[in-house]
Amino acid sequence: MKPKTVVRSLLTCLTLALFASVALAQSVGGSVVIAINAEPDSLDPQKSATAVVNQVMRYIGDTLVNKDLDGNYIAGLATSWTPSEDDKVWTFTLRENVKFHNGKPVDAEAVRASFLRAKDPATQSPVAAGLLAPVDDVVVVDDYTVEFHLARPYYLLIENLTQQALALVDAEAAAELGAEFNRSPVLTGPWKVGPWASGSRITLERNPDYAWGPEYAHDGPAYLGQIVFQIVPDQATATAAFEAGNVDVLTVAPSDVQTLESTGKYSMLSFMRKGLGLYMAYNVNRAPFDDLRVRQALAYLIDKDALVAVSLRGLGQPACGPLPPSIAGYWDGICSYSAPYDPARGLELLVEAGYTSQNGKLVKGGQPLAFSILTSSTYGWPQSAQVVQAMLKEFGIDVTVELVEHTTLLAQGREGSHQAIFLGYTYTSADILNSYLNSANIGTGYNWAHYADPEIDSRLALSRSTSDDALRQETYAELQRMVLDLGLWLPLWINDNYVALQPRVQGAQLSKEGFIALLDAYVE
Amino acid sequence: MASQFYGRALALLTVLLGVSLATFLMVHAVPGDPAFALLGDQATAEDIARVRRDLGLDRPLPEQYARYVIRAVQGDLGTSIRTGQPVIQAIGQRFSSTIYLTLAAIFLSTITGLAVGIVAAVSRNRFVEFFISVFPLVGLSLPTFWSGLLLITLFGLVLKWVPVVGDAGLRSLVLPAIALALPTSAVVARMTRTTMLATLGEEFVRTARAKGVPRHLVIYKHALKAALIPVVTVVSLQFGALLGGAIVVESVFARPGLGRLAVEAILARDFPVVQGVVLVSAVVFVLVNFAAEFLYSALDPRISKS
Repeated sequence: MKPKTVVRSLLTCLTLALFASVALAQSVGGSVVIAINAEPDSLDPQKSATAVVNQVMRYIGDTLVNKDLDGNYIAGLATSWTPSEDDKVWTFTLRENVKFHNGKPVDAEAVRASFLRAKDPATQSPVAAGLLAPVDDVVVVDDYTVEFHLARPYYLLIENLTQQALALVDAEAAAELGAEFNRSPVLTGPWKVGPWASGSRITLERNPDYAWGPEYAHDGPAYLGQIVFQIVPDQATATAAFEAGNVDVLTVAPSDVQTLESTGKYSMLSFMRKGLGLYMAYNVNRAPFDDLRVRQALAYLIDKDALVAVSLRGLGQPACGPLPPSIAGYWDGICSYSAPYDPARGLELLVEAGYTSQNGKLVKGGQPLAFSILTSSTYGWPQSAQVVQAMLKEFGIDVTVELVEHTTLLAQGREGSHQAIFLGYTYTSADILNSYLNSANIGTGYNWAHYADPEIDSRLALSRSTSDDALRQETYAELQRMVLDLGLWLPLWINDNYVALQPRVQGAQLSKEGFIALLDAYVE
Repeated sequence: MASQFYGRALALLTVLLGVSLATFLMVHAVPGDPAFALLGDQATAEDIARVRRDLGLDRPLPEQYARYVIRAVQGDLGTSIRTGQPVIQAIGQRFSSTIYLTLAAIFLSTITGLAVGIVAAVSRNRFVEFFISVFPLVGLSLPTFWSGLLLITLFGLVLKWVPVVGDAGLRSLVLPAIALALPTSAVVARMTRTTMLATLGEEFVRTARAKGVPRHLVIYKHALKAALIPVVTVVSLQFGALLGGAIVVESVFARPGLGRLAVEAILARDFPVVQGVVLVSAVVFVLVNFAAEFLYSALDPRISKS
């Protein structure tokens, strides 16, 4: 043991002792009501596809690898993991004495069965199967050791294993229960799924056997007897319910942040979105954006600080590149690299592209410089579209704002019928660049710029396969620069997300990823 | 009577076929792919392709519709794309909530509408007349999402008489029912006033008065019964509007009902659920109209003879 490790374990022991003494003071029981805006499709982690499930899954399931509140990898149901020389076999040592909600012990066989179920085409897993795509097989070595055999080196394996979609399920129970498993899954988490009133609320009940929580929380089962997820689709109603005390934990709409903060009654926590709240993707196949200079020029003509102040009420920051600082792989030089607000430079580029000013309009070959922005009514987007429209109008550029429903927006973006499109994303790793930039995703997926480039493709492949961390970081940095150099996107803003808690809820913590850790929480 | 019943059943079948075809065409004409809607912004292109294949969305449209009708006839409305739940089951879980809400709203709007309408027709008080003439205007003009939020703020947040969300039995039905009933009661009030005024001018009413029947008996026994028939029509037609209004009210009040199920399904392009909800609503609507027709004959025996 290295001296550092010894100090660390001592500290851990001390912390644990401290928590244990706090635990004695905490009364067990009580319930916390969390408002969610949509009903989960399924609480079988391998069947679910909706983002809202991530808010529930952490409380009912556990993954092999976990993250601490700062986003570092820590032990989950596996206590350690090591790659082979060629990075194609990863060996995981499992935690002992872990049980499923039905009391069945979790051993290497159960782990193997869970992952094979996720990969089985018959499961029709929308997300989990994709996360395991490079995994050929999961092999049992002994009762508490498994090996993941990969088709090729895949550095994202550990990150993927922290994803809620790969929470461990009791595959045998899943086979027995059939469709019922969607609403009463058998997992390993600190709470289990209790009564689920369709369209209304899902109640989670405390798992009294839980003793395998993450290192940042106390040992042993949770204090809260119940966590209730109350489904409230309307944001104004959710806020009213919170103020009336019917809801304890609320994801706050940006428009309500100031109102709730000014009461001074609630604890407000915030975290930077893991993704861009808004960027404008140009369709490089359609005029005027088939000209690189036009795409680049717009970046100089838009004052992002003013945009954030107006459309986000200042609750966020301008985005410089395709990744936010909250995602590992973000290149911290991007803000000095990206185009500053410099109208003179922007107009120069447009002159180079052949545009001249006539009666206050920019014109080329008799055609005015005009385009339409496709946007949905996602918070802050329509306002941002209007601000962008007003900013560009000053320079003689005509912008039309086309507001459509979100699913329609995605369909049109995929087909490529747009000129410019407003989009945002939330993701866990820099690998999101692959979805957006890979030429394989033109027309079928998320390559909204419809731009194919073998150089980008080869860098993406490298970022996914190399085991050299420094090289991967450099590759990501290059990709971020390329998005700006090629003018594929105009990154606009990254919003902050807010969570409000009633004062009766004590001991809750917010992770940098926006997860509200409730293992140490209790109610007064 | 029997031939009348068969005629009705045939009409119902025709309506259902028409409705199902129209819904099918509409949901498929709307841009947007269920696979895309399902997977959201965390998915990869490979995921999308896999889900599309799994859902059978790559088959030709006529084939998809034919399969749907054949299964629907056997009582199988398919399974939800979003949740994997049988559509019948999903609707079953939400059905009673919407029916309670709609019935409560019908009850409230009929009572208040009739009361306001009658008073409006017979009142000679200028203040009452003014209030009564403003009521339908306000009731019809207030959008339910707004009046709903006002009710929530007043009774849930300020007075704390009812919980804003959560199930408190009958108590949690009151506010949504009021919000939903408001526009309909305005329509009923207006209709009642018009028909009452017309009826009060008719000869049989004058005769009743002339032979010395007390005023309240003239109004409630003679005039109201005759004035009620158009009101029944309006109420039964409003039932459809209420089912539609439930979409908004259920979202605002976070009630688990058919309307919200429909909205969620539309946003997720969950075709089987959209079709199922529309079909079930059509059945309910047609049945209510049949009931209304039987009610006419109870109110006015001449109708069933013709």
